[in-house]
Amino acid sequence: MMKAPWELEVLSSSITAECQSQLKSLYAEGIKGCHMEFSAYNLLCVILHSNNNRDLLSSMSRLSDETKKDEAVKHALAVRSAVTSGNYVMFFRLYKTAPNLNTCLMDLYFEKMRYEAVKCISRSYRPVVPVAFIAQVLGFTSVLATTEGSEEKDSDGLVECEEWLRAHGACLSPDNIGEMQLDTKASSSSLFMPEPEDAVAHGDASLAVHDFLTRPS
Amino acid sequence: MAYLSMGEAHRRITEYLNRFSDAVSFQDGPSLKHLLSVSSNSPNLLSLADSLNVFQDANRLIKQSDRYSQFGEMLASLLRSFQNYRIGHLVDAYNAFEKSANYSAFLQEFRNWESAWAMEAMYVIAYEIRVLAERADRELASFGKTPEKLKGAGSFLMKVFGALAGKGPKRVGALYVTCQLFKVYFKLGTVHLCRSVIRSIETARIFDFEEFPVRDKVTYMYYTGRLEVFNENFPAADQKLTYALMHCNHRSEANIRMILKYLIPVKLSIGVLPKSGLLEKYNLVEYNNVVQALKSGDLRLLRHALQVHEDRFLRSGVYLVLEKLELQVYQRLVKKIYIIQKQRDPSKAHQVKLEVIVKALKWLEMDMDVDEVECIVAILIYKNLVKGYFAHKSKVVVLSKQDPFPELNGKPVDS
Repeated sequence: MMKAPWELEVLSSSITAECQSQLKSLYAEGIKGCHMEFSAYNLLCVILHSNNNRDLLSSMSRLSDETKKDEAVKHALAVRSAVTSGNYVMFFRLYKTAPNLNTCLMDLYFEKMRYEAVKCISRSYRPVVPVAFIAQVLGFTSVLATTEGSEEKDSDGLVECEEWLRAHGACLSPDNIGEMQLDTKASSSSLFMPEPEDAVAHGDASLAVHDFLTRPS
Repeated sequence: MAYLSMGEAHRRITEYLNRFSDAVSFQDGPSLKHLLSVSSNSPNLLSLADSLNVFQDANRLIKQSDRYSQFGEMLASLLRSFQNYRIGHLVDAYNAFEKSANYSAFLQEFRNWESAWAMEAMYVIAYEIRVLAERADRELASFGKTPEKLKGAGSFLMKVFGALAGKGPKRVGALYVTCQLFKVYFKLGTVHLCRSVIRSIETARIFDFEEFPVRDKVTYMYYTGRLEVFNENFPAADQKLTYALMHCNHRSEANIRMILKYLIPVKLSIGVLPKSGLLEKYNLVEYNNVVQALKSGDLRLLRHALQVHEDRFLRSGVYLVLEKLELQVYQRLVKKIYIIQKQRDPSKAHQVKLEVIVKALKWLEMDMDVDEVECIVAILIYKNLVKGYFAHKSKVVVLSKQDPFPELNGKPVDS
């Protein structure tokens, strides 16, 4: 059962304290959750907001063996590991399987992970990479076409990926059968992180949350 | 406890008071410092504490003579501290000690003395205030109360630091107090507070680092080195921890072990492996499998070591540093594949198929799919651990013909 109405305020860089107090008041209001879930959010908040390794280490060391077995906490720990190592494939996979509200906390790192990933790809791949591949590993499209209508969603995702790449200075060109390719060498010197207003929006965080909540379970 | 008569107790307390006032009158630092170690359990001080618990009215003795009046308040609190510590009232012992050391008493006089004759006594006070606070906090925690004495000890130590931060000869004591502060902040987990003392030591013109005693310099470098490890600033951490190691008393195995505990992960991060036997010699065998994993490219071994010693590595704060060694382990694995290929067919060695790496990882029981392995390879190239490029269509790593697996050579992996 959903408590209504409530909104997570638009996420900003000082969100940690706000995040925490929102979550705390949620639990005070008696939403059926458990402290495991809170541990997971806490961990994600620490990972994604503080540049402070000491806080992260201390959060991790305080997790009991029992807490570490909880799915949401395991997910948060896996996200932590992916972010620390820059493993974008793992990060975007974890996004798709995120339990509870872990996604909306991962949203904050979304842009950064995508940008770092494209930089990495541009430096290490030669001569070109299909945009369809990038769209898949960076979470623009789904991995498996399992449901009806997913093909349409996939082509939307492909378009979104192309737009996103262009907005970040990537050099794209179609190959001889018309499939869009990322020219890695050229892109490696032309990529840039645009100003927030100009960036192609992934969707602002509150929408993502509403989206999540209105999704049929 | 052997029977102690009232008369004997009276005699011992008076003896202590006389020794104290003589030490002050003759500015006898070494004698004074021995009279202040509440936590030391030296036979003389234990017998003093026992006497206090028998006699119970030391204040009267103090007031009886003019000799003790200069330090009347301090002595009263100090004796109360001895008395309480002996019977296990640790919070009371701390409170009394803090009072005796504070402004109205010792610290004030200390500021007035121009020479540094009481420096060693001040060291004892700085040490005792920290240790008594730690024990008091443990007592508070055991009663379910909030431990707050160590924090208070930190504030006191800052005051002491202030008393030493001047142009006179007392300034050589500042580093010792700084190190006590480090220990307090590390214990409390408030390491960010170290920054301001570090700034004072390193930028104030009154301090010349070389003037400080070696023992304090070693401790200082050890803690500031550890802070650099937290910040993953490996070249700085290497420099500081190595300084501590080089200047540390080479017979003090415990201290060497403490330094190595942090220096080894730092060295591993810049591509330097420990000499064989070092880990065994200093009982740091938790790093054995980490080193082995780096040598053989065995990712499973590294992950296993991180899991088995997770608590220990998290508590000491080296977990994240060790985890980051994964990339170097991957590098070693790919290099091994390359070496094997080179032996079989040198002309084709510089092309490594992704599926071969996937298979090698599966053989190590690392179940990673093609996309994930491709991502790792891309990261290896991006961070210059592999020179070359990845051809997506053919799923082949094309290695540079020259030095395809650059050594770190004392520099950390590109961040």
